[in-house]
Amino acid sequence: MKVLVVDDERDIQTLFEQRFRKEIKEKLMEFVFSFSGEEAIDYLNRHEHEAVLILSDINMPGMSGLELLGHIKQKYLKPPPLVMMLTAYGDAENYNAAMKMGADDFLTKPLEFSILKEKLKAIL
Amino acid sequence: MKKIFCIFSATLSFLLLHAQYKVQFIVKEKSAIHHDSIYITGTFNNWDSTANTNYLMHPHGVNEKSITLNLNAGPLRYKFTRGSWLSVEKQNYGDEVPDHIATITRDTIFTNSVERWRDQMFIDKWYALSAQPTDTDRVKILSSLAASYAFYTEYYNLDSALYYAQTALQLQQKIVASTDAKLWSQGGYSTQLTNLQEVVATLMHSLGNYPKALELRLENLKLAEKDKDKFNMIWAIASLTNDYAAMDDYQHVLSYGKILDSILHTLNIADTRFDEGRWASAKIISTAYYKLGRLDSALPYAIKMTKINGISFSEGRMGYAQNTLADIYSAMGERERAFAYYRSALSKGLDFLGASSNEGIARLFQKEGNIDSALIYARRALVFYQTQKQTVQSWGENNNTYVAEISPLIAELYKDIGQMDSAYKYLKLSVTLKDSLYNTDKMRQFQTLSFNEAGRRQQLEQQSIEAKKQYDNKVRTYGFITIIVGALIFSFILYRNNKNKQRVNVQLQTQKKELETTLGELKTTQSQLIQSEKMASLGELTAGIAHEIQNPLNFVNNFSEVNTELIEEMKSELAAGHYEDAVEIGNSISENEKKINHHGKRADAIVKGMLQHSRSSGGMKESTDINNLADEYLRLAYHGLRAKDKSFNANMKTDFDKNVGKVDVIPQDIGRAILNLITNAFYAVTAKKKQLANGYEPTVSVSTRKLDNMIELTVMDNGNGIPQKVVDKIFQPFFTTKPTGEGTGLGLSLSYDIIKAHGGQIKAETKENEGSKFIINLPA
Repeated sequence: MKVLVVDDERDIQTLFEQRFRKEIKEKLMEFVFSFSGEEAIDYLNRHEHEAVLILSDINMPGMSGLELLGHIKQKYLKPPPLVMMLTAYGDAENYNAAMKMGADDFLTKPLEFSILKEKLKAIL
Repeated sequence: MKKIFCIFSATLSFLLLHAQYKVQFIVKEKSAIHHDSIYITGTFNNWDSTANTNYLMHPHGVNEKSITLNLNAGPLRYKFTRGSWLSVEKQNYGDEVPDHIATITRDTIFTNSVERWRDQMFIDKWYALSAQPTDTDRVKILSSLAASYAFYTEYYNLDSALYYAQTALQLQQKIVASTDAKLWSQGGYSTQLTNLQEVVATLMHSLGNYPKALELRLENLKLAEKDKDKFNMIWAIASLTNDYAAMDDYQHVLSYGKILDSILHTLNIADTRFDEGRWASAKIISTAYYKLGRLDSALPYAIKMTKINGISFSEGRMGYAQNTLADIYSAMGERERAFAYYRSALSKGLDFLGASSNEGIARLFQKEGNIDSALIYARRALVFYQTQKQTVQSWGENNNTYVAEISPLIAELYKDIGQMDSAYKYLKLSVTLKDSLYNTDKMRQFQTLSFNEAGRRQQLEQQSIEAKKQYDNKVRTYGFITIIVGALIFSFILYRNNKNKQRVNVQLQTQKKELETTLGELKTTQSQLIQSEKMASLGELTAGIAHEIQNPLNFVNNFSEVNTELIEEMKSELAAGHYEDAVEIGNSISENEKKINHHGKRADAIVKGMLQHSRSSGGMKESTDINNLADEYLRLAYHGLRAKDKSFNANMKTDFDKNVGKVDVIPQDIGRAILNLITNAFYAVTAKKKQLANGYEPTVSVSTRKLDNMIELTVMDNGNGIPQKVVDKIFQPFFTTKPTGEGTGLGLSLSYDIIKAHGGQIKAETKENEGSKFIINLPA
């Protein structure tokens, strides 16, 4: 399962790679990283249907996570990749906006990786 | 142009003058004589002070009435009256208290007390006479006294009324002789004379002297026509039809009734002041047709009487209408309807009206051959006419006329039951009374008057036809002139428009530029306003804090957890003797440790920045040399950056105005604000230098300037500038254009707060790819 992680915090890559080092080693999961919404769209355009899950931050310079979500949901009508929002803004307003736009889940920072792993297992 | 301006200013002054205000009038009756119909009358919103309107006041408290009116700003005369509006209009009839005079400038409440109404009126008037009033005032008082004696049943005194009326009339003639014509009409003398003559006419009528009454009323009609006073015309005509009716000349009554109707048709139907006139007109025409035997024509007017039901219309008036209807139905042979209407009229409980209804019922019974009942009703009416002379006269009527009219009916009824003595007695009474009322002399007088009046009317009509002809000619001439003048004006306007076009175009260009500048300034002001709003927004700040703190925390928490796991893994690798793997894990731990430290510091910086924001500065204001301060922080920033990054370099330019001198500020705070601006400027030029390797000279300039009551400090760079779409956000907390993790987004926000706290202003001017300029203004 290929997961695209979108976040402007570059250290997120190291963190995911360390946290999922076993899954990566066992080739259960594969992670790719984009550091902005624009980069993510570029990746998705080049590698359509590869990523089954997108984890995206909301507050990013340039295209925001919600804008990216809207774009993905419009472009990938069938089949839509799963999109989880990953944000420091754990407020109701952002939660509602994301859910209305078709987000599949909503996680807040600091990330509880044990919870994230459970959710990913459920999808797998 | 001047003309247009005049029209404009006239319109403006009209609007200003006609601001409306809510004015509440409260009247308190001091004498505590509660009366249920108190009216207020005055110059309410009228151009013409004679066109008064009266309003019925509403119960307000104990012995108090009130009314609220929407009135125009300006002077006001008003007074309170009791009874119907007729007594309001006819000022000399004595029902009113003196005028109140006021000026309305805003919403107001006027509270007035009324010492006395009619009850103490006589005393007041005698007192007024004893106080040696002017001749004009004396006439007013005398007329008023005469009217009081003539019209109030309870005070009716014919001799006194005649005495005062004649005295007033003589005095009035003396005044008229000494006053020229212009003053005459200005002073309202003709209304005064009209009122006085009407009093005398009424007295003459009630004495049975119909020719004299008619003469005076015709005189009043002439006066009213001369003054073009429609109100007085209506009442003169209505009154004189009474005299013709008393003389049984219903042909004249009818023709005057029709004149009355045509005058009323020229008046606005909504003007309730004329409702009573409309009612009287319907009554006059209806009665005339009835008496002339034209019942079909009489009926619609009688029905009209029942439908005019304005504010001042009493049950009594409805009673009169019903009595008239009953008379007509009776003559038509519609017995049931006639009875029903007579009974309704009787139920109003009015004596004079009741007598008339009783007479009508008597005639109905007579027709049916029910002589006994007829006699009972007829005698009731007769007894009233014979015994209540004063009441009948106070209505302005002569009782003998009524007795003379009903006597033949009674005589006939007695004859029918065989009481010939009584029949003879009443017949004789009727003849005697009629002889005195309608003797040859009187008839001749009356006919002469009627003939003269007919001649005068004919003359008037001729005059009015000629006046109309002249008017038509004038209209034609003026119309022609108007067309020519209009054409001339139009061509002049065309000519002038052409000439002015170019000049106007130049003016328009200038105005356009001015407008564009103004619009630009407005936009700046607007975005500054939006800015201040956002500064204060707690929600915005909370979201910012959440994001900025949670992100580093995310790394601190997770990397430390990962490290814990890695240490365990390293231990097991060591125990298994896999040293290379253990070293690799150790390297990862060390990398993670660095990240924990970095993000921990990041969080620390954010918290410190926020604290600086929230904590009021402990510093004191000192007289500070701004030029020195700016220079000092410029160097501090430069060397600070050089220490971090050896490759950093930039040109520094300063241009300090010596007139700036010393200003009272908290030096460390202002220093901090300047430092933020300079650091940003250096950052901007460095970023641009990285993009453009050659030919670019990174430059940061700091300058000061002395303005009126202000000093201005400018920090300018030649970096990439700030993208237009984010310019509005740069002073918001946590907003940054630096890559994630490099800036807290609190620098400019803090600078903004500091400058605001000093009562100054900070603004940014920027052009993309050319650079930015931050300008601080501080009060000197």
